[in-house]
Amino acid sequence: MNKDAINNQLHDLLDGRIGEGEFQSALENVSSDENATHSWRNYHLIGDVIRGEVSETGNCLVSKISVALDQEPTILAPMRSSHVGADDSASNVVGLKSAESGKNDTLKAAGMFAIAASVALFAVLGISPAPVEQSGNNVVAVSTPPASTQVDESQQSSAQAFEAEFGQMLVTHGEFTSTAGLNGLASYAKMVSNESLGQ
Amino acid sequence: MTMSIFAQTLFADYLPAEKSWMSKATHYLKPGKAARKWVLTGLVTAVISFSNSFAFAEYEKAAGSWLMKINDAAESASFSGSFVYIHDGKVETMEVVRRITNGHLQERLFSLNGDAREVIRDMDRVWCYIPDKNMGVHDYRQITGSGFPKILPSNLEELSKNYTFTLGDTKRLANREAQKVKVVPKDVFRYGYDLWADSETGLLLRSDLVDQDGEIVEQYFFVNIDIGREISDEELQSQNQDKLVWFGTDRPNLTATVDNQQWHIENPPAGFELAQHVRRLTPMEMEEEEHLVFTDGLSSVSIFVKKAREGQSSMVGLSRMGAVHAYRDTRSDHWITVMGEVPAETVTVLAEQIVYRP
Repeated sequence: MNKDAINNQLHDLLDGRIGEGEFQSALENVSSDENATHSWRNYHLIGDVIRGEVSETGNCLVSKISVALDQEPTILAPMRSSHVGADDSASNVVGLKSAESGKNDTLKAAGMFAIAASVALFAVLGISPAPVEQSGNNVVAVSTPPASTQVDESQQSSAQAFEAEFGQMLVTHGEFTSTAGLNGLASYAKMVSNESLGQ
Repeated sequence: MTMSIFAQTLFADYLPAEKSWMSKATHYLKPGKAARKWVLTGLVTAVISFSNSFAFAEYEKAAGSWLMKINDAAESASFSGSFVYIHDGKVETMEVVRRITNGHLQERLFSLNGDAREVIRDMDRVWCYIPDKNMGVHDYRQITGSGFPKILPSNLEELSKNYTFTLGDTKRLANREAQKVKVVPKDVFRYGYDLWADSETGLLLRSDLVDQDGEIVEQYFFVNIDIGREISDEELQSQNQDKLVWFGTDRPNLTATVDNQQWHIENPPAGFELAQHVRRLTPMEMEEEEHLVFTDGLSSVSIFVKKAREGQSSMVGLSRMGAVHAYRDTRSDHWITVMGEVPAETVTVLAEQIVYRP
């Protein structure tokens, strides 16, 4: 395929004008041409800048975390600190309260940390578990183990906890599979995926 | 081949007519039916496995040696490059820099489009930068246990009981010659792979996760890659300049191998074996949780078991996240969550199979 044809395919690709049937071959053609590859990268870098200028500041997630924290009545504020580089992150991460502060405080702080961090982790994954339909019905339903004492909780709060917990489980599962040669890269690609919570 | 056709015929009454069998799988996965279907599948798989035990063909050995080469390259090759990641109908471009020096793995992976998210890995430590949310997450990889099994000559024959390997053509990808290896599952409990490995080094240049209908569930492929070059320290540092609020733990997750196993899968789908069983405190709620990992050598499924708190409610049933299916249920006052990059049937059957036997 000549340069002009590849460039045309690149533009069609970037403009979203490629049909489903041609999509794969177009991507392969573009990726096999060095100039087209650079154009592809530049396009996305420019897009970064544009989106950076107009992007929202993450209030959506912050508000979700606030809602989660409001639903935990007995918690203490976690220690917070800011961090710029990766080098000194270990000393600056939001940590659990030390054991010296007492078991109860530790557990309360852990609860606080748990909710905030689980929502944050879910945002990292950037994907939302979608119920799989079963004969037209939503198969995912709220349940309480039969032996437990019934305490009403809203379905919304169950769904929120479900999403956060699933996000964390997916991270843990990914930690195992990321050592595999066949899908290791995909495990971490999920973490920088740009689909956002709530989109 | 005859057995495969036989199996298809047997399943014809069970498989839904719709093309997207994966999303409609629960039509025939009502309680009890999945178990019956699983037994039937198990019988068919057993017959197939028996016949296959005599015939690990030469052509499969050649393809299998490529799988080993891919596995080795993932553990030893330093490289940098850009790749396209396609999932759920979305296309994302990312850049990765990986340096492996005497077994010490460092990696930086960042998005080229959308928000400038990054993941930095240094052996078992992982930092996720999410500047669009003004936050970062620091975590430790769970490395307790044997980890994902390496693909070795000794277990290639085992893999061939559940997958067929064939070598395809070579083609140019990312300006390099790539060898295609096709991995086709022999039953409905796992996805297949279409892989293209760098002819020289074995590094994966393209990976398609394929469902039973041949539809690509998830895909990534490099558009450019530089293999074996010197990677500087600077290239592995985050370029993020924003002040982030960091969440995470400053110590590895507390895990312990479970010796006294009380949770058992009576009859997992063919080939799936327990690779890891640990008890740990969840980094979120600091609650005790058991984590079991079953793998057939290529596909893996995690099972999380956690004691239900009094009165605690949760969502139960089947859900899907890209290539990942998850099934949550209750058993003996515990939450059971099964998840993995496998078809809906696999997580459903495993959730039905798990029993508590102290």
